[in-house]
Amino acid sequence: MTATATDQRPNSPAPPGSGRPPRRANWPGGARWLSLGERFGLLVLIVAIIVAWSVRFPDTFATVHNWQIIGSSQSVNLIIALALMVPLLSNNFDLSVGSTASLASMLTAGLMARNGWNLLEAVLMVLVIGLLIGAVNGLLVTRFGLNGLIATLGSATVLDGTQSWYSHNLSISSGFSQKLVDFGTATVWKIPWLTVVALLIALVTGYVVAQTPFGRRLVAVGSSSPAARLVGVRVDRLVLASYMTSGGLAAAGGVLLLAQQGSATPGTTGIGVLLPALAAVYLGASTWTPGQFNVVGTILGLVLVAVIVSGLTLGGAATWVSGVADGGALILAVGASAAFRRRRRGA
Amino acid sequence: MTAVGEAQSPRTTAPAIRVNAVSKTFGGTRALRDVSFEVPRASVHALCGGNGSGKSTLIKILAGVHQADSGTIEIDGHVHDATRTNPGWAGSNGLYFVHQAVGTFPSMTVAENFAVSSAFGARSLAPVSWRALHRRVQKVLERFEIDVSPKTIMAQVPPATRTMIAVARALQYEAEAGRGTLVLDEPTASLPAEEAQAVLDAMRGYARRGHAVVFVSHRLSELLAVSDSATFLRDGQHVRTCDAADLDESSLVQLITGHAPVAPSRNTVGTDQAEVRLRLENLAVGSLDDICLQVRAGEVVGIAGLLGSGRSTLLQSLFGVRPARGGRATLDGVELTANDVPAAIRGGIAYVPEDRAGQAAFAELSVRANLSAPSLRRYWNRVWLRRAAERCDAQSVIERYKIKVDGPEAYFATMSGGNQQKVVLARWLELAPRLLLLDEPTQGVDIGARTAIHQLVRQVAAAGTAVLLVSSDPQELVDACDRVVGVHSGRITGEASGADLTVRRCTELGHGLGAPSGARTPTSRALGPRTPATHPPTSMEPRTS
Repeated sequence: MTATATDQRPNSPAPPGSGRPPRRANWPGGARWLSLGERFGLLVLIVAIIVAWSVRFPDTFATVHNWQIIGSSQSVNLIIALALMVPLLSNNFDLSVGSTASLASMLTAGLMARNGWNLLEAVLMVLVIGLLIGAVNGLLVTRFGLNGLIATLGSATVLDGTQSWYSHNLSISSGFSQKLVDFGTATVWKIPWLTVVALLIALVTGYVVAQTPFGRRLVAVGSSSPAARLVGVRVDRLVLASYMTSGGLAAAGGVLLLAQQGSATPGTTGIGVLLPALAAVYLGASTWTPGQFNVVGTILGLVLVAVIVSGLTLGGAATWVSGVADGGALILAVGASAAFRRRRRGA
Repeated sequence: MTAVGEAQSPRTTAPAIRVNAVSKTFGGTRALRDVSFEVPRASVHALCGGNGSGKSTLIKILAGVHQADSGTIEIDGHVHDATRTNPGWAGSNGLYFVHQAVGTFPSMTVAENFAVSSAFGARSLAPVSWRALHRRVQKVLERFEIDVSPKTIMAQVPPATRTMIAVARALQYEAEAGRGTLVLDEPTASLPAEEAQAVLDAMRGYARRGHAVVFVSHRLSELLAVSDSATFLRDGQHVRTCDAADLDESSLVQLITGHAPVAPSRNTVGTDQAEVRLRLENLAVGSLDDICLQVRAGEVVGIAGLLGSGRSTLLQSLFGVRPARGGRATLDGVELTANDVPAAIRGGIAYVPEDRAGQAAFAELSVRANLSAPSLRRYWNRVWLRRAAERCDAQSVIERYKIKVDGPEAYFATMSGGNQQKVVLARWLELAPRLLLLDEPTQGVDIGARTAIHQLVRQVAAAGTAVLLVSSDPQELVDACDRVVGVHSGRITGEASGADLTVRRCTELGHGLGAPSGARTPTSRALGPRTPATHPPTSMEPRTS
């Protein structure tokens, strides 16, 4: 209790909080176990589910192969979730991340298959396009003052349309670099390369978000944009940068998507990729640093949903289960993170 | 305690409210200890105490939001168990609550504002009869002598009138004149002096009609001016209930804080010789024109002006929030960069905005993050943010500024208003600014924290900072400033310093009465004579953009 020294001050009008209900958790004080539960609850839950499924399905769930499937399929979701999280830190939605990734996957394949570009050229071009899409979204929000949720819903639709136009609604499954497809199935020490790359990107994102002034300023804007402006944050520039980061990450996710699936299929991703990412980001905000979006929490959120769905599928549940799990997790997660946020605000 | 219920002739002589031995504990904290007092009918009763003294808890028990642990509440001679209050109970016993600025809808008309709370008996899906509604509201408005049309949009109604409309809405069904007790929680907190005066006049009016009025305010002068009696709470305990006539400003401070008031600390070393830091030459910004002003190092200059006089706009322009239309502003001889907040901060300017919750606070972030917000670069070693140093600095600020909080990682929103304001101030003072701009630095802050904040401002001035302070409270201008300039009708209209710097003089300056007032005695008892509304109606524009 560091505050005790000042409490004894003779001039003090009253002991802290005497006029209002005392608040439980300003850790490190207060109900320590409660705050530990909040921080690590999701992790404990994941471990419990893994143990349960492993006992139930020892031959199918608890196998290297199953974990490789989970790892490589979730690595794309992780990148998309990170793309969603960065602008969300400043309280701005980017619902176009799924569509950007989908278009990026199609373009990567198309540029190689149709235009004969090599892998490196195609990937760099697609990343630039991702940044540009982010820039357009960012300008719509900052320069033209549109609501991010609506603006990016609009751009998502436009991107989906663009993809249909570009692909003539046909899959591209050959004619592009075999290296990329091989990479999608390659492993290192039994870990899929896709997962390694995704975790590296997550590591960098986590560093930028938590350890740099950029990340801290994003969080400040998310808390109060007028107050951030008055402590010297160039809010518009920062929000634009966060949308560009989002676009770039989503495009990178698209490249991984192509590697993972081995073909670019129109109309399959869009909202389908967005929803699990949204659920993971909000689940992440209910753990690790509760009430705030964070990378570790987002990874845990993804793993939780993936593990649940994997077990259910192995148990013979129908395919609609994964949709229900994603949606249900999203609702629970949004509820939980809103509750944490309310408590932080002292309401 | 049983005798309490046996008041002889309840309707006539019993007090409007008698609170008897009410106690309340939250967790381990005793918020109220055995508090007893009574409020006579047809009078205004002030409920006084610092932040955390228990007055909000008491009001919440009366309103039925919280339930007491023990005690009784007697209303019009009927004894009620204070452990079983609920919101419905309060309403059916004639207790009405009006919270500051809460509960009116700015984009709806006055009549619609009445209708949302009551629907005038109509079922929720039945068509609304607009003519009947307007007639009905017109009658209520007339009864309460409020001079607006039911069709006016609420946002266009002056803030004081909004408060009165909220009161009229609460009391509209009290058919029997003088029944009912009105509880007003800081009704004047966000109002400038002349608007506040209108609310205070209205409160006297309710009391004349026989209502009992209980009100909370941090403004000492209005506590003295308007109330008949007052109850003081400190640390959850009842200190005293007495007639307002027995009180003066210093006994009031003594009763609220438990200490004798600290004399206003003027600048003792003359600043006449000090270098001029801020120089405004014919500056034109917002509704202001031709502003010429010099602030020397170590000087605290106050700006008196009405709501919408452009006083806040001036500060915002100096901080680079909005551009000036013309003229020059220099700090230590260097021209200020227009419209660039980061440049202003780099140039040594600090700004504490008026609206703490909306423009200064990161409510759900930690105290540490709130403190380091403008100085993140200090902790950036090009590879990572030095969190340990950041936390250590925050801890040091908490100790040096005597901020009451559970440590650097506690959330900003969990602190009381006074401590929040200290954090906002400390955020800037730690940067050792050359120019400090303060807009209503002690609004909604209790007297103890207020004195502490004034001392901090004085300290930073003593270190050579030039300070510009805007306040709608003339007492604050007198307490905190070396010199006060009046801003009215877009110009600087007058100036007061030294012995001429009195509450009355500051009030006059705010109203554009520039001529020196001669040898009048300083008065803080009332806010001067009722000043006629000499200001043009343009003073209705919102304070901040």
